[in-house]
Order: sequence, then C-alpha cells, then structure tokens
Amino acid sequence: MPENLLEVNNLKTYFFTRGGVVKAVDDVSFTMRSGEALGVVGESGCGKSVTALSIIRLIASPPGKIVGGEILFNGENILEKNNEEMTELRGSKISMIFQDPMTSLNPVFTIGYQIAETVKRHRKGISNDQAWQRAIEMLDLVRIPDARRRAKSYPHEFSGGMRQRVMIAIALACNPQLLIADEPTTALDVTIQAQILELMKGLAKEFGTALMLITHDLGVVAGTCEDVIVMYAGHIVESAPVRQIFQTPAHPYTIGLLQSIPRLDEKRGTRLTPIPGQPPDLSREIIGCPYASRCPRVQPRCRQERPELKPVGRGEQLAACFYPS
Amino acid sequence: MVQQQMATSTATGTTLVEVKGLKVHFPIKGGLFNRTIAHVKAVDGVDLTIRRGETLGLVGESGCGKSTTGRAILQLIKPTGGSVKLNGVELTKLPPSELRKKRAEMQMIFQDPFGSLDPRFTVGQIIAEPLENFKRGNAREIREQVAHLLEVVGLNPYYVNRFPHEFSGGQRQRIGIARALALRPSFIVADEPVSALDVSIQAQVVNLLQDLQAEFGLTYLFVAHNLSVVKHISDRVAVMYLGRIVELAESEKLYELPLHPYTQALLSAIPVPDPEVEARRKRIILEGDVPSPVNPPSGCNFHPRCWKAQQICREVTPPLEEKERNHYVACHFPG
Amino acid sequence: MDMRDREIQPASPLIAPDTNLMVPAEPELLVETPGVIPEAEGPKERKPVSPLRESLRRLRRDKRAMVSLGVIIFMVLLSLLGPFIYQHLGGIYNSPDNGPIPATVYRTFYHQELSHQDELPSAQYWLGTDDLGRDILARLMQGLLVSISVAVLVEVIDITMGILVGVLAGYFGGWIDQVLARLTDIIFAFPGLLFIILLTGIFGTWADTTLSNVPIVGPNGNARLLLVSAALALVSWPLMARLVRGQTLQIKEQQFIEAARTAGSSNLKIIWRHIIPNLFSIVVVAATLDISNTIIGEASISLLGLGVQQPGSSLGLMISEASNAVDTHPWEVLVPSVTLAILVLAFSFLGDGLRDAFDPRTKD
Repeated sequence: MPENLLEVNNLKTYFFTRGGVVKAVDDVSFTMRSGEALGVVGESGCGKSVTALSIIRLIASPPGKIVGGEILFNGENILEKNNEEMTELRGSKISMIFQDPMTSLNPVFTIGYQIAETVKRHRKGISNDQAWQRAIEMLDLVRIPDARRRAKSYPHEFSGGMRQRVMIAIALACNPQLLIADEPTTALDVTIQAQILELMKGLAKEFGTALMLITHDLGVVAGTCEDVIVMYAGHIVESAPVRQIFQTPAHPYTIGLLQSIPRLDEKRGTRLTPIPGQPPDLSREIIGCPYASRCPRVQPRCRQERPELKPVGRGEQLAACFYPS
Repeated sequence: MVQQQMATSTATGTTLVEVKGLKVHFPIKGGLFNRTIAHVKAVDGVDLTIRRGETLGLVGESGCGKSTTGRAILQLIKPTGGSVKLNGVELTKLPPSELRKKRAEMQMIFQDPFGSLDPRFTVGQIIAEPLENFKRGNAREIREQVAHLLEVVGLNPYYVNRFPHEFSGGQRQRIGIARALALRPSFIVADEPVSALDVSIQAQVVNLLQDLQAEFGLTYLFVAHNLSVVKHISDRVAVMYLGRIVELAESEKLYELPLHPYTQALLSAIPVPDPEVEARRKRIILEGDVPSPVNPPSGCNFHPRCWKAQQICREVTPPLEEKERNHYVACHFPG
Repeated sequence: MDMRDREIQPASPLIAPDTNLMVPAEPELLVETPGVIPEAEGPKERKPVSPLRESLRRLRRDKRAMVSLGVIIFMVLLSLLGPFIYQHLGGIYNSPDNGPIPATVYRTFYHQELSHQDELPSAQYWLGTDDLGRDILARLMQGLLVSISVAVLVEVIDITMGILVGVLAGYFGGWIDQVLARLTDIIFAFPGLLFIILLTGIFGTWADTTLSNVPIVGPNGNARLLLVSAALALVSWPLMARLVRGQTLQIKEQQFIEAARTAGSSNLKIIWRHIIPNLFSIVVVAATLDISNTIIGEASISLLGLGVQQPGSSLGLMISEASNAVDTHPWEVLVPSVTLAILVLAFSFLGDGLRDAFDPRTKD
C-alpha cells in the first residue's frame, strides 16, 4: 500500500482557445493521505476546479487537455488509464459532487433509482432488490427523513439542500476512497450549508473517505479541513495545515485574502484591506510570480523568476514566495 | 435642492424612508381558466424606518423576501398593501409619471454585474441613461458628468466607449454603481451588490460603497445573505424570515446578543475563517428547510424549526416589539 | 413547407446525464479571462468591440455562411442586372416568324420564338429555350426576381408585425397576448399551405382584375405577387410574433430592464432602446431561415398554378410547365429546380451561420 492515497506531480492542464493557450493549471503538485480532509481555496479562475476535474479526468476536450505531469491514485497513474478503466474508477473509488444540485440529477428518474443504478454499475452481481435497499440505506445515512418513501420521489420534489444530500448519497454509495466536492454549498443558504458541511465531515470520517473540498470560502475550510492549499492563477501559492494558514499565513496572497474578508467577530469601524487590481489574464505568458502585479511586497526579482513552492520553516508549511512572512 | 438635502442629511439621523405594513403577494395562476389559485406571500407585513445617512442591512436566506422588500420600497414591484414614504411622500399612491420623477431620489445597485448592464450599450450610454431621462444638461455636459462619475467609482474615463463584456465582474459592478449615483440620489437600495464577486474584489466594492456614502451622504438599504458583509457595512441590521422581520437591532448588538432563535441559528451557521474559533464554537444546526411562502406555518412562522417552540408559538403571531433599547424582536420567548 | 421547423430553440440540456459525474457546463476559468481590461495598465489603443461587431467577426470566419452569402448576393444581382446585361450582349436575329429582332426582344422572358422550341444551350440562348421557344435564362432571372421580391416582401411584413405584436404581447401581456396565442393556435392547427392555397384561390381572380387596376400595382402579374406575399406573410407572422414574444419575456426579466426603470426610463423608451435592439439577432436569424420557407412556399403556389400567371415567370411556374415533358426535356426542369435548391440552401446555411455567430455559447 503506497503511503499517499493521491499524489499529483507537476500537473499541467491547458485550454487551447482561439484567444490563446489558457494555462488553467500550471505545474501543480500535492499529496493527500487516505482519510484526509483537504481544502483547496482560491478565486474563480484560479484553477481549483480544473485541478479536480483533471484528477477525475473530466476535462472537456477540446478545448482542454492535460499536457503534463502525473496523477498517482493508490500508486497508479490515472493519466495512463483508458476510458473504460476510468469509468470503472469514477463513482467507485473516486466520486465527485458539484455546486449545482439542481442540474446534477436526472429529472425523469426517481431518487432511489438513481442511487441504485450507481450501486449496480460498480458492484457486479448485486440484485435489484439489494441495490434498492442500499439506496434507502444511503438516504437514511444522509438524514433524509422517511427514506423508504422518499426514495420513490423525483428530484423536483426535493429542495436544494435535500438534493445536495442525495448527491452525497450517490457519491458515497460505493464507499469511495476519495470524495471531491466542488463548491458543494455555494448555491445553498447558510443554515443549509451548515447542515451539509456537518454531514459531509461526519460521513467522510465514518467511511474513512478522503475529502477534497474546493471552495472560495475560507470560513468553510477553517471548520472542515485539516490541510489547505491556496491556488492563484493556476499555481499553488501556499499549502499548510489549516491552523498555520490562518494563524501564520506566509504568502502575501493568502494574507491579502484573509484581510479582505469581513469577519463576524471583528470590531465595528474596521476597514477591509482589499487586494488591488485583479488576477492576471492566463492566456498571456506570465513572467515571474503571477501575484507580482498585486503584491504589496513585490521586489524586482519577483517580476523575473517564478518562485518555487518550498518550506518556509514552520513544519509542513510551504509557500511559493521569495519573501514569505 | 438635492445639495441642501445632503448637507443636512448626515448629522440629524431623521427618518428618510418609512415602511409600514408592507405586503407583496404574488398570485399563482393555474387550473382550467387560469385563475388565481393561491398567493406567494413574499413579503407579509414589514415595518421599517431608515434614517438619513445610515446603512440598514437586510439579511435572510433565499426566499425570505428581502430582495422583494427592497424592490417594493422602490416601487419596482407594486406592493399588495402597506405604505412606503420617502422624505414624507407616500410612494405607493403616486401616479406613474410622478413616480418616475421621484426615481431621481432613489436608486438601486443590482446583484448581477453581467445581467444588469445592457450588452448593447456602451459604458457611457449606460451611465448617461438616467441623466438623459432627467435632462441633466446638454450632450456635452452629460458627457462630462459621465466621465466624472467613472472617476468617482475608480474607473478610467478613457473606457467610456467600451462595452460591458470587455470588463471584469468587479469593474462592471463599479459601472452599475456609477449609474446609480448619476442622479445624486439620497437613497440607494443595494441588492446583494457583492455576492457575485470574488472575495478580493468584494472588499474593493464594499470599501467603495462606504467611501461614496461618506462623500455623498447616501442612505443605504443593504440587502444581502452574507451576514459577515452585512455586519461589516451596516449601522443597523434587520433579519427576515418568510416575509417578516424577526429581529432588528444595531449591528454590534445583534451579533453580540441575538434574541431571536432564528438569528441565533443563522449567526452560528456562518463559518468564521479561523480554525480556533471554529473548533470552539457551538453550532445550532436547524432542522429541515424553509417552509413554502405559499402556505406559511401558523402563528410564528419559524415554529416548525424552532427548538423553543411552545403551544402559543403555533397559535399567535408574535409582533415585532422593542425588547431592549433599539432592539426589536418578534418572538414569544426571546433571549 | 413545414413552418414549425424554423423556430429557434436554445439548446437546453433538459435531461442531465444520469450519474453524479456530470461536467459543469463551463469550466470556471472561461468566465472572465480574455479581453478584460487590466486596471493597472494605462489606456491602450484598442477599438471597443460591440457585441454586433463581435458576431460579424465570427460570421466572417464561417466559410459555409460566407459562400452562401456570396451565392445570395450573386443571385440578387443576377435577377436585378442580369436581364439588361444579357440583352445587351446579344445581336440582331433574323427570325423566320418575326423578321429581324434585337436581343431586347428575343431575350425577354415572355417572347415566344416558335422556331426555337425545346432547345439546349446555345450561343443565342445560353440556357436553351422552353416548349414555347422562350429564353430559359431570361425566364430564370425573372423567376429569381419574383422569388426574391416575394421573400423580401414577406419578411418585411413578417418582421414588422412579428416585432410589433410580439413585443407588445411579451412586454405588456394581457389581451394582446391572448389574441396572439389564439392566432398561433389556429395557424398550428391548420396546414399553412392549404390556407395559402385557399386564400390565393379565393382572391386570385379579384387580384387579377380589381387589384391590377390600382395604378401603383398595375398589370404584369404584380397583383398576384402581392397576393401570394400577403398569403405567405399571413401564416408566418404569428410564428415570428410568438418567437419575439418568448424572447421579450426573457429580456424583460433581465436586470438591465429593471435598471432602466430605476433610471426613470418610460416603457416606450425601454422597449425601443433595450428590448428591440436585443431582439435583433434572433429576429435576423429567424427571418433568414424563414426566407427558405417563403421561397419554397411561393414556388409551391406557382407550381399549383395559383401564383404568378403566364406569361410571367417564377421558379415554381417554370418547374410546373416543364414537368409535363420531364422525360423528353429533363434540362428544362433541371435548371429552375437546381437554382431553387441552391437559393434555398444558401439561405438555410446563412441562417445557421448567423445563429452560430450570434449565439454567445459558440464564443471561442
């Protein structure tokens, strides 16, 4: 058994558009242990979703293409698998849930049927009855009241939060080793978000599933994850255990993000410190550090070479910055 | 006249907007003859006063009626009942032509930085539209005002002939803000103005809104679902649930000592970007979903999800009462 | 002639794939990357790109659409200028029946040269002659003129009525909406072609006599042309109006309409400046695609003998006349049929190209 469940090495996923080559994910490396809860944060366009879609090999091609690197899952390179092997892997070993629970379910089939189908696809020889029982079991597990009856309902009879529960049930039905959740609560209200996060955290622990939580909300990460990766313009700029990210952030971008969000526990009259400007255009060649144009601590060197992700002297904390704090 | 208002506005704290018993019910049509079979009670009896120069935050979850309230105050949606007074003038009874004139005093900033700008208009045309409608000068004067407004919101006037799709979300939101400012209004409803933006851009826009308030003596009704942002920008905050205001207090007070169970649950559900705090705090996880506003629960409409609910909550609707100084709550068992 | 086909449906993925492994419609990075103006940078010399210009740029890259556009322009020029050039190029001909006649006589669509019946192409008759010894090329150009005039006339009525009624119904709803709904119901329930045949059958004689006496209309079969156009437009505008209505309903819900209202714009101004310009693309696409239907419709009516009458010409009439002798003289059927097919295809391709160019989803 390899030490890491997932090992991503120098992943490069580019999009070949008419406007140029968009380097959505450019030289990204990280690892995940089994059972770990990893948060991937960043703003839209930073490459966090593309990283996830690369791992599960669902990059729309064209225009997208994984042009380099390797993704080792249980020691096997996912990028070398053929389509059949990938289909087998998806849903059974790696599952994914998306932001929009409205379009992720097929409106013409019952909830129970859709869960049972997933189970049957990945477990050869299971009977219809057993699959249906498993579906009800899963609905129970994601705390849908009266699961036996509700399994016969159609998606439109469910609210947004309930549908996201169903998605979680489908995703976990085959005991996957890795669950990728791409902004799973962004479309939901805060009270529902709290329910869903609690549920995901609990179930991942119970099943021993590793959780990769992709979000733009630092608060969500703080309460759910053990480790955090911060992405910016297709690169990982910082990676550390959750406490260190929030207490001793090293990369100026991480610091900037933390300072630009209002906190519930702040004093009245404090002013936000926004990050000036906006992310760079990824279809253009970026020389040097991608954050240089917005960085308050920028030095001439930052505009010439790109800093590597390396330890900043606090245990497991890594940052891609020449002048980390 | 507008100038004078501004001069007096900030200091006094007198009432600018007064809302009483506001109701917005949308009919649901159906059946064989397309009759009205039921009503969505989006807003069901809202009372609010907004003081000159303040920011009143209006929070709640989707479907609670907060955006509808904002629109009904501006008469963009015709209220089913109740009264809305701006500067003492009753808006709900104004004939359309009079109401159009009144629009110069009240403006709106929209949520969607993509949908709120006509894709076929240039930035200049977008910002000039209100100025042309109210004949604020000839073509050259309007051009000058537009350039000035662009500068005020932090955009380069050079881009006046560009089209919206050439701008990023944050920049578009600035264009929308410039349009709202064009007529020098006294009252602005900001409907989720930053929720479509990235966090680092949100802060830019929040700061801009605060700066503009100080500069032009604006009064905001800030409608949003993000309580952290609302708390940051608002002087007072009103919490809505299913078409009614359940609690209203100064923002510090509300966050320190929420009295309504729903507010307490809402506050506890917000993730704080600090793992230490997150590990320590106790979460109140509400059961179930928000009920349908077509058929809201009897009595206090929060009772099916409330852990304090008693018999009286199912029967009697609690009125919004001042429980502490400047702290209003609609609950039989507050605290 | 199925008029139902030409409605433009947005390709909505109604049914989602059945697993939890659906790819989101758009990867996050494509939301706002190219073309965004960097705040930090100073003014750059770059022309503002309006959405319309952007669409036309995309259209120009579409080879099939551009070839189709070329074909259409060629056909229009051919029908307008062709006859003059063609007649100018011919010399005097010594007719055994009519004596010496110039090309302005024998190269007209109505002159019958009975000594030259059913001929194949020659120097004198570039595309040969028909069974009455009339110049096929001349008749073809006249036929094209008829087809194109009818198409233009129908689309003008179609667009005007469609936008007028559609926008009013969509924006204000109420009784206009009800009337439109019932009208389209009737059109749907009643075969369009049958309706047109009835109309032209009933009013045909009236058009030939009474309407032809109106000074501006005059004789020469113009009255019939008007009648056919009116009949075609009558069955097509409610569908255009329905399309416009649907689109108006969508645009009306956009926040920029609410913003315009907040800015103090009146309903009339909102319709004129915000709704109608944003309808432009969908109306242009629908009208272009509809031209194919109109041309076929006109040809069908003429084929049935209810459209343009002898000695006038029209593509449908030419096919109808020549089809009696299709075994012996297939050429005479082939020429108008192929021309009709090319014209119809060209409009269809152009319409498809326009649709792709205007559809923001096909943005690169």
